[in-house]
Amino acid sequence: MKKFIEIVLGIKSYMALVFGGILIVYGVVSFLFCGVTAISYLRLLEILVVAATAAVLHFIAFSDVVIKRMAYGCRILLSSLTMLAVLCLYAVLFHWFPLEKLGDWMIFLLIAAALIAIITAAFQISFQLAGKKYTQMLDAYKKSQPRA
Amino acid sequence: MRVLKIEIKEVPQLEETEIVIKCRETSAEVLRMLAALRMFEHKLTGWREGRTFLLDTREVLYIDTVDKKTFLYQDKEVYETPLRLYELEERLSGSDFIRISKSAIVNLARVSSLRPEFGGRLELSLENGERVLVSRQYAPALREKIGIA
Repeated sequence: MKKFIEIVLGIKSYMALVFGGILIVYGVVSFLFCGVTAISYLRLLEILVVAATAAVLHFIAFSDVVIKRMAYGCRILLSSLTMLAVLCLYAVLFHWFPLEKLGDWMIFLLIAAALIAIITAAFQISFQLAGKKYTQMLDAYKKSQPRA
Repeated sequence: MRVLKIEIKEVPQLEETEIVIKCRETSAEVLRMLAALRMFEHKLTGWREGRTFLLDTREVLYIDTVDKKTFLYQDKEVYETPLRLYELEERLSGSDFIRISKSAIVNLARVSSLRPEFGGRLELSLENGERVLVSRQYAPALREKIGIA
């Protein structure tokens, strides 16, 4: 039970992060390019569904609960591809754009892929920078310890 | 309840402390006593291929439990120890060894680098190239030990 609650809390935290991020990006882009100044309740629900899906897929790909052993790069690829596929499904379900227009699909896929790549790269860079700082602190700790 | 006969003899001529264990046979219990005593000189007792080895704690990269058995990992060799993980954790407290998950203890002196991971975990790269994960539950203690805010 405790493990289940931990998992749920972790997914919930990530979902909140993604929801906020999508909301900000959607709000800024729709305001700048379409002059939209309000977001419908339905659109909010759609963004919530996308955020929840992203959080669950992220949990499946990056926790060791479902996939025990997988190289980190493969995990990134798996989560990116599944998220892209799910976004396409939601584009159909939620009628985000005219589905028969190939051009709209191409733009959508490009933007989705670019966003996923940017978010992944941003996390990787932040983890690498934090990792450098952590390793420096580790080296300082090792020097401070008496050795035989 | 088994009662141990413990005797202390002060011999001023001795240059170093000598401990002799007298037993009917070298049972698992006796081996556990031996392993506990070795901890005082920063040594760990390990078995491999039917032989007992005395390992310097500085050469141990990490300790792991699998199927209720505890293993000591060096650069290339793996040894089984009679001590349980919680016993090792108690006896190694205050040293470079720190618990990183429910089943593992790592020697920070043998960690070459570390980085954060998704979900509040940490990934440690060891000097032999292996990587181990610090679970979310134990990451704060490790951060505190190293001095990461």
